[in-house]
Amino acid sequence: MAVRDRDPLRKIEENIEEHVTSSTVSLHADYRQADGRIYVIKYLPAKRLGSFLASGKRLYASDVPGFTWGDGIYAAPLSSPLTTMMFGRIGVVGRIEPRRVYDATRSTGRDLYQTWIRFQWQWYNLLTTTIHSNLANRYLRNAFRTRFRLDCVVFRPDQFCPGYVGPNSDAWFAVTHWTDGRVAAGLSTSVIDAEWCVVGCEEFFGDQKNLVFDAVLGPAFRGARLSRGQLQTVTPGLSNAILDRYRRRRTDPAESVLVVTF
Amino acid sequence: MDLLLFLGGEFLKKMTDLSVSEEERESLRYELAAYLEEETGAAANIVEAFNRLDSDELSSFARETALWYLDWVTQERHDLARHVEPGSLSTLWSTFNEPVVRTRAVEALIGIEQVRQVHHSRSEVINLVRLALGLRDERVLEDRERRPSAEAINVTSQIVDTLLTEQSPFALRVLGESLTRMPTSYRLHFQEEIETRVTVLGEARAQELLAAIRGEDRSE
Repeated sequence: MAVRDRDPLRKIEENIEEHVTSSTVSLHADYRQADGRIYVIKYLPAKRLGSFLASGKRLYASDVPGFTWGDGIYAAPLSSPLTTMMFGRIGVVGRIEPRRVYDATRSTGRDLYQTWIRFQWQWYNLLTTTIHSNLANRYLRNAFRTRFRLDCVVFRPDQFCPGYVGPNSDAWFAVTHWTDGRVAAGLSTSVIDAEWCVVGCEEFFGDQKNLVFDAVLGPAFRGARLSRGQLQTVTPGLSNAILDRYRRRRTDPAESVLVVTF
Repeated sequence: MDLLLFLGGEFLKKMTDLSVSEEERESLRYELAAYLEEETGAAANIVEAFNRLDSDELSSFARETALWYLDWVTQERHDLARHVEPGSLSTLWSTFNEPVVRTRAVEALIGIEQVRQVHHSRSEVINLVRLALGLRDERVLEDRERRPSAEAINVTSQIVDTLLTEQSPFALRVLGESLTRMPTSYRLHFQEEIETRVTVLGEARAQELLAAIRGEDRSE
C-alpha cells in the first residue's frame, strides 16, 4: 500500500486548536461587560414563553435542520440587542461562560472547518453529492463542535432585516448544549440565569424561507423620528437599559419587563 | 402499533414535518421536552413503543421522524440509550433506504451498543453489512462468491464509510469483524477501498486505523 508520509488531518486539527485558543481570547475581550460577564439575548415567539417558564426558565437548544451551526441555542451578544429581534417579541437575557470558542466570522475559521469536514467521509459524501445537504450540514457541524468541544461558535448573520441586522458587523452565537460530551438538542442551562425581561413592540414579516425579514410596524410608527438607517444609534442605550432591567428582574421578579419601542 | 405511538404519532409527525414552520416545530419540541421531564417514565415508554415497531409500522413515519428518534435517544436523551433494543435500529435501517437515515442508524447503533456493552462480534452492524451484501444466510454465501453487485457494493460502502468516519475503537473492530465474515471477493474489494480511504490520513494514522480494524492493539 502506498501511503503518504505526512499526517494532514493532524496538522489541520492542530491549526483548529490554535484558532480555538485565539477565538476564546477574542470573545472574552470583545463581549465582556463591566462586571466581567458575557450577556446574551435570545428572542422567542410569544407562544413559547409558557414553555420557557414551565421548564424552570431554561432555553431549548434546537435541532431543527437548517440552523447555521447545528444544534444549539442561537442568541446574540447583549451589546447588539436589535440583531435578532425579528425572531420573536420575548427577549430572554442570560449569561454564557464559554471555555472553548470558535470564531467563524474570520476566514481562517471557515477555511479550517471546510478542510476538516473533507475527512468526515460519509457525511461529506452526502453533503456534496446528494440533495440532502441541509441534513448533512447539521450532522457535520455537530460533529465538528463535538470533536473540538466548542461551547460557542461566533458567526456572521445569515438572515437579514434592514436596519436591525448588520450582515458584516454583527455577530451571532450558537451556544452549545452538552449531553454526555456531545452537542445535543434539549432543555439547557448553557445560558445561565436566563430571565425574560424584554417585550419588543414591532411586527416583522419574513419571506417564504425566513431568510429576509422586514419591520412592518416601525416605519409608520417611528415616522420622521428615527429612520431605518438611524435605528442602530439606539443600541448602546438600549443594551444598558435591558441589562439594568435584567438585573432588577433577577432580584425582584415583580419588576416589570422592559417594553422596547423606538 | 402501540397505543402510545398510535395516539402520539401525529404529534411526532407534526413536530418533524418540514412543511410546518421551523418556529412551530421548535415550539413543539420545547413543549415535549418540558413534558417528558415532568412525567417520569414517559420517555422510556416511547422508546419501548419504538422497540416494538415492525417494518410496516415504522414505514408509516416520515424519515424526519426517524431521524428525530435517532437523535433523541442518542443525544438529547442519551440517558435512554440503554432502553433501545439494537434490533429495533436494524429494523429502522432496513425500513428506510435513504442514505442519511441509514448513516444515522449505523451511528446510533454503534453508540447504543457501546452503552449496552455489546461485544463487537455481536454487533447488529455486522448483520446490516450482510443484509447490504444480500447475504441473508450462510447457504447463499457460496452463490455470491463470484462477483459483488454494484448495488451491494454501494450500500455496503455507506456502512464502511460510516464506521471509518466514526473511528472509535469499537466501530473499527465492528468493521474488522464485518470484513472477516464477508466472502473473499467482497472482503478484498472493501479492504482495498478502506486502504485507499485511509491513505489520505498519512502513513502513521493509516497504519494505526488499519491495525485497529484488524484488532491489533498497537499500544502494547
